[in-house]
Amino acid sequence: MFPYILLTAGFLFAVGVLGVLIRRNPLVVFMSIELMLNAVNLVLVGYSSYLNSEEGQIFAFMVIVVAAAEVVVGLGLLTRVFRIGRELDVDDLDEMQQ
Amino acid sequence: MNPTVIAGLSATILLLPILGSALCGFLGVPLGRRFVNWVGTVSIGLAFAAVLVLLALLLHAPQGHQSSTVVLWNWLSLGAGSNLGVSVNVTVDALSVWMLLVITGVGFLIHVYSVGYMEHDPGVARFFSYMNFFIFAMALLVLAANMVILIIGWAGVALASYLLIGFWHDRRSAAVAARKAMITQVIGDVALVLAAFLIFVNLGTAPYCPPGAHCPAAAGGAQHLHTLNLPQIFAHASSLGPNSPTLTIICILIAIGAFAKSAQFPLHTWLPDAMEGPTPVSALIHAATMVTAGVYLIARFHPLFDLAPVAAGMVASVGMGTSIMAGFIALSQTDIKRVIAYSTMSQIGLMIFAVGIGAYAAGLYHLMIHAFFKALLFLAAGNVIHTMHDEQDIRQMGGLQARMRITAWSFLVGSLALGGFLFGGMFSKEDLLGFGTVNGPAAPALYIVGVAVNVLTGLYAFRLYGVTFTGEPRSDLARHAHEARRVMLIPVVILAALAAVAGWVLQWPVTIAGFRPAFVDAFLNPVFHTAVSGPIAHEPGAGLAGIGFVIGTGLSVIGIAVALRIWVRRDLDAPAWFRGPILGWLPRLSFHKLYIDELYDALLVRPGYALARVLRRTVEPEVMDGWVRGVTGVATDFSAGIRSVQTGLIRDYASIMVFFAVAFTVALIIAAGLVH
Amino acid sequence: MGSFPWLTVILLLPAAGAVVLQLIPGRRTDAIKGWTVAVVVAEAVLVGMVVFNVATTPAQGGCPGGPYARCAAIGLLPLPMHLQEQAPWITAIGASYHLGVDGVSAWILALNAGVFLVAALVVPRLTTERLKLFCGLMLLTETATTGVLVSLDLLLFYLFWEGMLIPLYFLLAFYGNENRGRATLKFVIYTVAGSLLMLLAIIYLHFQALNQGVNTFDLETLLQTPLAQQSAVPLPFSSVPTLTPQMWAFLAFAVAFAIKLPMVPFHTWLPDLYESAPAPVLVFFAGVVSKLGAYGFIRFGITLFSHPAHQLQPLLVALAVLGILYGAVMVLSQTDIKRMVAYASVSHMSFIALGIFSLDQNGINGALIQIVNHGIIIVGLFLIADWVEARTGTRDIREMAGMERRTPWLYAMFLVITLAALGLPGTLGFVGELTTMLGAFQYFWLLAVLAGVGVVLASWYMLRLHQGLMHEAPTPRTEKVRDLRLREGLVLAPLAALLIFLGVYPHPIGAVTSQSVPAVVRLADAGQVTAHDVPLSHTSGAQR
Repeated sequence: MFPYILLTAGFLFAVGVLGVLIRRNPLVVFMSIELMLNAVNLVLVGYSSYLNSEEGQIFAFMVIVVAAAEVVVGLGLLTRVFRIGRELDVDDLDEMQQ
Repeated sequence: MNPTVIAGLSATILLLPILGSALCGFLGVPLGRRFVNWVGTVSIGLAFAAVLVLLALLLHAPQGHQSSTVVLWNWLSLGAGSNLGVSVNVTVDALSVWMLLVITGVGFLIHVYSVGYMEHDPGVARFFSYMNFFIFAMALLVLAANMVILIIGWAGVALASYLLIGFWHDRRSAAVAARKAMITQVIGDVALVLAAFLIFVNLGTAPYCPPGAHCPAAAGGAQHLHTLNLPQIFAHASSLGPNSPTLTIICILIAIGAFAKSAQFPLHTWLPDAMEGPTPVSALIHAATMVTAGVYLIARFHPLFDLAPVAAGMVASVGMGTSIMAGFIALSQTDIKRVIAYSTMSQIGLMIFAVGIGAYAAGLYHLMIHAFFKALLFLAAGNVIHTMHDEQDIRQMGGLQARMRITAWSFLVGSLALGGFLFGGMFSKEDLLGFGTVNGPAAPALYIVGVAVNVLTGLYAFRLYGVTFTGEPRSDLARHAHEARRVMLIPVVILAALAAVAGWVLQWPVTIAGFRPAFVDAFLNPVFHTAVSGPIAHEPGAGLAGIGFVIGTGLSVIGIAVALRIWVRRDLDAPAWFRGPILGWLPRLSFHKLYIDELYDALLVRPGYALARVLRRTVEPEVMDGWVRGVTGVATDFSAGIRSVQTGLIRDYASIMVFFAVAFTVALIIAAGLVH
Repeated sequence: MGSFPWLTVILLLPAAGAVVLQLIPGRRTDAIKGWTVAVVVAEAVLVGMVVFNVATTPAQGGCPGGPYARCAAIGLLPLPMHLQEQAPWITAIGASYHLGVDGVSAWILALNAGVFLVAALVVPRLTTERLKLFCGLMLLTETATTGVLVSLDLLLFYLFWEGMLIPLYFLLAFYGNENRGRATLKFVIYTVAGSLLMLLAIIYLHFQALNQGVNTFDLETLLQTPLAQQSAVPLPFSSVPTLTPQMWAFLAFAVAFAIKLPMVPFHTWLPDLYESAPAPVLVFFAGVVSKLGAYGFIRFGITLFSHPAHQLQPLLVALAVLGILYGAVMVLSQTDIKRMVAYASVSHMSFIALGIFSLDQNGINGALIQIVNHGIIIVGLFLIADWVEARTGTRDIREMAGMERRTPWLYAMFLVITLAALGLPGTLGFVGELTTMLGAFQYFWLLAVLAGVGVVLASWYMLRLHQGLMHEAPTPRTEKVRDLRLREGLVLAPLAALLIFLGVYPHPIGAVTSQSVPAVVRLADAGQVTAHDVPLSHTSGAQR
């Protein structure tokens, strides 16, 4: 059972990475990031049941909390960008670099 | 003497002036001139009365109980161990009472005079506030029985002097003079503080039991504190042994403090400039009291100076050197107040000489007499300046004798007392010079310089009198001069009477043999004879004193006579033989004050500002900021290289992350394989 | 004072006040100001009670019974505290919530509370939201500075030390004049660089203690833990020895504190910042924040690292004396009154450093006195500079003169502060300089002489500043200046009165500090060894 969990998680993580690298819509990028986080969560919970220890689950909860916080901040930023009339494209948002 | 009574009286003497100062300062403007005049003078008058009570107590005190030290409050205590523990102590003995008599007595007369002198000045409240504060600080200085408290009084009088020199704020020259005076005083303060440190480290580490306190056998705690109390310092002075280098350095530092205050070379240049202040200030602070504090200081620290003959000899030499230098400069000055200022410097030089050779009582005797006649000269000069509408140049005066008779007669009495004929100075000056015949370094070398000063004194005193009061008026202002108001005349007349009579009274009966001020000796000498080791000055024998007196007075008379011959009813230029090419440089040298101000400017002030400019333009941006920029420069260069990676595209960042994550994982796997 | 957690209350009160402040609508400026003043007044009252308690009661406890040889060797508990609170914090790494107050910290706490009180009274007229933000940030800063002063746990101390920068950064970057951006950046980079080094040293100390089997960040425990002897650290990739780890750790602490103090040559952020910062921020920044560097040296630097401190003493006192003279001469070349005050501050702060590094009881007492003295003086001077600038529209001393005629009250209060700044006997400045110089003199006489030169220079530049503004004939800019308003006078008058009162009667100072300073000095003395005694470790203290 356990190896399949890892494989699934690895697959999910790879999908997430590809999503971040390829897609240009920030909302989809966010979704991809969530996917990666959830892949990690899956690994944590899987190991937790495999090792019979609750620590993995605790960490998974922490990750969920952090992910939620991150979404709040990220979506807030996106709404601001949308409000000032910009198209939502991550490749266009490079003003911070200048 | 009852300690409670002493503490009460001392506190009264200190409190009355400071209270007067606060009342004048805070309420003077709203309550008006009349209030200020009354409060400002009455506070000092009452303090003088308290001093008289102290004097009476002291004169009736039994032998051996003529000194009393009381603690007013604890100042600072930095905990047990070898630490500072200072309390506010006052000492009442003949020396402090002697000084208090001058401070409050002459001070009171000058305050009364000021009522008239400042009658048109809008800043009268401020003036009396400062003046009363000065009396407070000066009283604290002479009463203090602790070195730190003494330094507080010492700096307090400097502050009062600073405020009063710069009293007229809109004058640039006054501001500069005030600052110069203050900086010089701070130099003296620092020297005194360093002396206190040396004393702290070297004297008084042993357990100390204050007189009258109950000290357990195993004295501990507070008894081990370094109190810097003067009795404690003096009690331990001999532990260093005679001629110890440490003690010599301590004494030299104390002497530097005294020189700064008493305008002795090389810290003398502030005093002539200090004449920018109102004339009563010059009379009180820069003639009668504050500038003589240096004499008091050395007299107060006599147990140390007695043990450090090298330092004492230096003091005597500097005093005499300053005396003849100032006398020489006074000969050609044209500002009436500056002439008197240089004469003050010269006379104080004599006092410093006296305390330097151990003739403490003689020095203090001259201090009091000098306070009378010098305050008199300044106040009389103030009358002249007042009627001349603030004109101080004697070349614009002349013929004032006929127009202001009482002032002129008083000024004549003062000039005679200063010159050393018939009045005041004839007694006190010759007395202290007499000690010079047998005491001091290379005696009687300094004595011979001293009698030369006598000639100079007679010369400049009567040059001033002749040019100012005799002959024809040289300006309209002088032609329209008139006598001063009564409130300004009465103090002048009283001081003239004191200057004329004091020497005769204090020295009665006058005999050529044993020409010594018996009362002064009897009053003051107990203070100086209780020294731990007392190689006090040898009294000159009766014959020697008599001869010295005749020679000294004779030379004074010669000086006076020559001055009368040159300057009375004649022009005010230097005599013909000083105008030629051979001796012409002498009057120039005198007029330019030996070029010492110019020298200091070139050696100290200009380099100071130049250094400041170099620091600001070069060192601060290049060195101090430079090293930081060097460090940050490395970081900046590094980050500039990294910067090209920062494209601002999330995709690029993510790609780099993924690339390194994969590379790291692969490396880890390979490494794990290698280990197995 | 019972078991009530007074220290926690004084620590959290300003922050709680800042939180409540957010409930007040931004347009009600009077309510915002009133609430801020109420909070700092309450804080000042509570701190006053704590200080009174410290001055009147003996320190608690003794050596807390541990198996620590060091404590027994000294025969005294490391730091006798008057009030202490302790609770577990991050137990895994041995960090605890350990607060304590002794004479040293109580004395500076009093300054802290007073300075924030003044700052709250002179909060500028700002637009609504900006005022609320300003007051909130100010209260947060007060919590941070209070935390620095009461923390006895190194990690907790570091938290407040760094946390202080956050509200300060916003205050400096949002308010102030047009140059503030660059100046703030410079300051933040300086301090963060120093602080990071200090964090490394704190972690090093933690692991040293861990090697001895003690898992702690606690100052008192660390003071009782003998650190193992270690040889010098070699240069990277070589065997060339450099300094011992203790020496490196001390240097890391010293740089952090020296930047805050600031000591020459770490001072160049200061004139720029003081020139650009707004007056109320300067009041507590110059008044207390920079003093925390001095506090850090006394509390942590010379006690935890007594041996390196003794070894580097010649260098440290030389830097201090250099700072006194350098700052003084720099004042003479300035024409901007705020920059004059800033460089005067460099000179005066170096006096504090000189007192500390004399490692002598008189000197450290002097440094403490000087901390409060300079705190009061600098607050007064910056307020005056600010008000003068507001009235005349310039900070150039060459364009001002003759203000005394129209501003007698300003003249008088400025005079008192000037005199205290030049160390005139009878003011608090004299008490501080006397004791500081005495400590320096006991270490090496020449230091006191050079410091004396600094005093003479101080009289030169302070009178140049005071006379430059007040004397001579008025200029067009100063013709119509008005005197202090009642409100301004009521802020300045207590400062001036305090300078005189404590100068005439400094006895209360000794009552507060004299119980605690000997303990500090004893700890510092533990590092005193003979020249040939090369191994660097705290255990050498046990030999005394």
